[in-house]
Amino acid sequence: MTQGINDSLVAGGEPGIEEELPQVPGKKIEGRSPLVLAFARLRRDRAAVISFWVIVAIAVMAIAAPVFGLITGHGPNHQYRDPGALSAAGLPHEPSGRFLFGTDDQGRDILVRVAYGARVSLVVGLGATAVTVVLGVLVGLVTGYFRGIVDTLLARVIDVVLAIPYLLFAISLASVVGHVNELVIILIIGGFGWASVGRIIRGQVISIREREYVEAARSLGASDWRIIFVDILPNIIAPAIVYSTLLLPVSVVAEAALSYLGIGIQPPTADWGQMISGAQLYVNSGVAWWYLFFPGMALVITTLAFNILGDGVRDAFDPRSDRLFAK
Amino acid sequence: MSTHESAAATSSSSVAPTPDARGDHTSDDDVLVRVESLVKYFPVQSTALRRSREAVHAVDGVDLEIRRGETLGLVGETGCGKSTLARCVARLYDVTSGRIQFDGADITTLSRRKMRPFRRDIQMIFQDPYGSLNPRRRVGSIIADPLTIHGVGDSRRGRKRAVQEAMELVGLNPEHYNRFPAEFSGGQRQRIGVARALVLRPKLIICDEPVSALDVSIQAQIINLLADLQSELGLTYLFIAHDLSVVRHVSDRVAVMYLGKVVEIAAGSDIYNHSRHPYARALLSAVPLPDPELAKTRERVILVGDVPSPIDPPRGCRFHPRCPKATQVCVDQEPALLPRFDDPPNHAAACHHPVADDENLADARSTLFGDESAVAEPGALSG
Amino acid sequence: MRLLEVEDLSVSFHTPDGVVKAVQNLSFSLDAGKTLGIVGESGSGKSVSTQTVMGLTRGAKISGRALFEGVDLLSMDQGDARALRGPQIAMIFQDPLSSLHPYYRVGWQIVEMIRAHDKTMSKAAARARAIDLLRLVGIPQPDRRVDDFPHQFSGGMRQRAMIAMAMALNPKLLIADEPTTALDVTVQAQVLEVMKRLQAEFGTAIIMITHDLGVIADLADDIVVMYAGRAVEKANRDDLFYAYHHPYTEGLLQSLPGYGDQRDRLHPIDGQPPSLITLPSGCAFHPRCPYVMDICRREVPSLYDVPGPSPHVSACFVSRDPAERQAARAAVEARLAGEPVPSGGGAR
Repeated sequence: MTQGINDSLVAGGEPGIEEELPQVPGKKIEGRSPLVLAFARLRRDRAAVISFWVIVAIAVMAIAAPVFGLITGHGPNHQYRDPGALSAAGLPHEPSGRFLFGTDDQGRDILVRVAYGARVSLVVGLGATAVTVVLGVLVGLVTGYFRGIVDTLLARVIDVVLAIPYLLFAISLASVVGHVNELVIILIIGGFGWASVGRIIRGQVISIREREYVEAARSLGASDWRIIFVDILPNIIAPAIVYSTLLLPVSVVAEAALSYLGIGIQPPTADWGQMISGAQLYVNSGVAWWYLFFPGMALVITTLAFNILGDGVRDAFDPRSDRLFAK
Repeated sequence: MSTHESAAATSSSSVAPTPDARGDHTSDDDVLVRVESLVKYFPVQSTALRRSREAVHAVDGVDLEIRRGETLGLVGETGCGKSTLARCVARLYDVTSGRIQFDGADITTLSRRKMRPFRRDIQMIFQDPYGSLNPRRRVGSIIADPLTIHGVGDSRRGRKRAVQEAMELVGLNPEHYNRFPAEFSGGQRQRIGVARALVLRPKLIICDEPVSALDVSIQAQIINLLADLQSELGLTYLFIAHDLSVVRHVSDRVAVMYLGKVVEIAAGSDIYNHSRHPYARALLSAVPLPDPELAKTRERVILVGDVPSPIDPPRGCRFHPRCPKATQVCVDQEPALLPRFDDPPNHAAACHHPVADDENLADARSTLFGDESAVAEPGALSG
Repeated sequence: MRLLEVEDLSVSFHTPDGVVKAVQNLSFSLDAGKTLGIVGESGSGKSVSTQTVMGLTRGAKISGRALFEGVDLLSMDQGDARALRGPQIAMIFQDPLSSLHPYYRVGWQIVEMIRAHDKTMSKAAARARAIDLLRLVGIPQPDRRVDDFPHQFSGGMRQRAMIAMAMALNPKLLIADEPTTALDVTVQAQVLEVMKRLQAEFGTAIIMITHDLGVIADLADDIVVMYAGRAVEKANRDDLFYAYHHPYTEGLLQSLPGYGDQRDRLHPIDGQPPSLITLPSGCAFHPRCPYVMDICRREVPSLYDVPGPSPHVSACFVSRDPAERQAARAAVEARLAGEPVPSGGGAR
């Protein structure tokens, strides 16, 4: 950041000096964009970097879930009934050499199921966040820029969406749809989430549209769409990235919550929320702590890593540190 | 909506606004911009639930001419309407009534599409070197905006050459084409803004407080740059500022505005040495001089009270509640903008009691102060 | 004893991008009842220095002393320092809304301020004093406006109300940080007039921080010019405006549009102010200085005495002898005009 400014002070500080500079045709002076600078700042944030690698590890675990199955020789939905997997009373087996994370009440390998569960969590988390942010940004851009009747109408729609009790709606929707898969969950979470993002982005757009550079574009005769996409959108990308990283853990938890309530991913597909829900009975009676612990930890670590990364991203994109040197 | 209709009515009822009309007035060839009885009101916060009939009278009947190749300075304090007037000329605002002629054509009510060719000839330079450049875009593409928007120069390379020429013209290193605004200092950013305004070689550049946000040592760089460009490219400037020393330095003629009206207009030296309007005189005397000896000896007029609300401006002369020379006629009658004493015809002041050259305004006392409750203790603050 | 004596003050901030050396080895002093002007452009350290004296620079690395009536404000316990500063040193800012609370009536805020430091004063007496103060700073109908909220005041009135609040405890020192920068010139003239009148009436010392040489010329007895965190020249008002020595001071005065001659070319200072993280070697002004010599790139000049009847120092290697300084100026002018430099001109 400062490096860039100092360069310009040395090289471009004074017109007299500039003219003396030899024009090297091969060497291009490339400016570093604010996004690049933000990522450079992010890389210096230790906690964020660690969180990033934790997320990468979880993603690898999700992608490589079949590998876990291959190594252990256990399918995600295979129910082992032998005494090494289920006790004589039909209770889950504690962690052992054969089942590192133990088994669940059906005699399934919790390790393999946690790995497969990461797939659902990440796919739904990323998908729902993408839907939320893309919808929110589009609505925010349009309402913030045009104001007037478009704004009034969409603002009322936002109010209505925010007023609908999300869980009740999700439960009744699930019963109507019948077969709930990842896509349906993504649409449910995204369909409710865009309104709050839209409202925040709208506020940003309203403040940006009053900036002098937007006025400059207007004085040049630029069309509304050009102003929205060339002048305003690039300034929305940074906050959109920040909201995305902060929304990811929320979406992951929302998916787990829906599945926990039994209106998310349907059995036997491995899913963390569902596993936590299934473990409840056995943990309450003090029989099988591992049944809750491993999927629970997976969920906690994932959301924690996303949250810390999100904080890091927000700090990195916060332009406050720029201002000190901008003048 | 009603603004359009009333403006349209005005223009259709007056002289034909076609370019053919240019020959009608012999002086028209020197005049680049002619503003006639321009009015711009902003309705006060009218929401869906509460309709308000009140309006801010930002510009309230202004006549002005900007001649080709000159710099017209526009001074006044916050809320006097100088920026609004400039934005009306640039057609960023629709006017409430009145007429704007540019290069012989009436542009008052042109649609967005019909206005486009004129926008090439009218460019703006803004006050805030930080706010007027999009922080997320590269400098080269910012300066190229006028070219891309108007589809000038079909090849990318041609545009790049035009941009780099403009950068060189304003003293920037053309190699810095790919940098972002944050990598430049305030003065350099203002040069970027100037380059953007120049790239289409416009006829008129509206400079809205172009140096107010800059440090003193940088201000002078930009003022010199603007002066050089003017003589090199034959530009016409409408130069807005609240800093009178800057305006006097750059302007051929200066117009002083107060509460939406031009109260005095004259050649630069006349406004500074022979100002007639008490407000212009007070404004001049309030500028802090960086010269202790001169500051001690010159006349000091300290105005009482604050600028009244532009929602409900005073009747008669708008300056009368604060004017040390105000009498009953100032309340009853609005003064016309006319030459006073034996001033040259291009020096006009809107005042019933113009100030003579040797008159000391600081000694004057209004006969109105007794019954004007808005003004308190005139003695308390006059120096 | 001096009222305020700042000695060898240095302030730096750690940021992710490096250490910002905001103020370096700054010393100045001020007598009771006098006005000291600190002038400089953005980033010169003029505001940070007085904010440090007021204990407002948290998280900064501070060294040096700030003696107020002989007591060092920087080394004492922060609670004690606050108790000492509160009634004795007041501060006003560029933005009056930063000190006026938007949700409380102006008069109430002044009354609270008075009673916080003088618990014996009755509410009615404090209110009467608040009205007096508002009258003093030229607020019309103070007995009515005392019950207004800050948003009901105009910008100039708010700034005057803030001055009234600052003067409520009759402080010995008033620090004014760009108090008129956000105001229009006619309002600025009103506010400066009020400050002068209060100073004459109460004998308050004032530190006026500004970038505006005109305001300084109007108000200050002594002036400190700052550049890139250091004092580059200190002199009384007349010396600074008519017998300046430092090339930066010269550059500032030259770059202003003059009052007499019209439409001449201005003489700006070349280049841009430096980054406070990577300051140029030697004298921080050398990359922009028309007088630059080899030594300027290597060594930081200390504040040398400039001969004359009154104290005057300048941090510059150019000769302080008036005749030689004049010759150096002529040489620079000749060079800028493109003429050959006369031999032996100026550089010591």
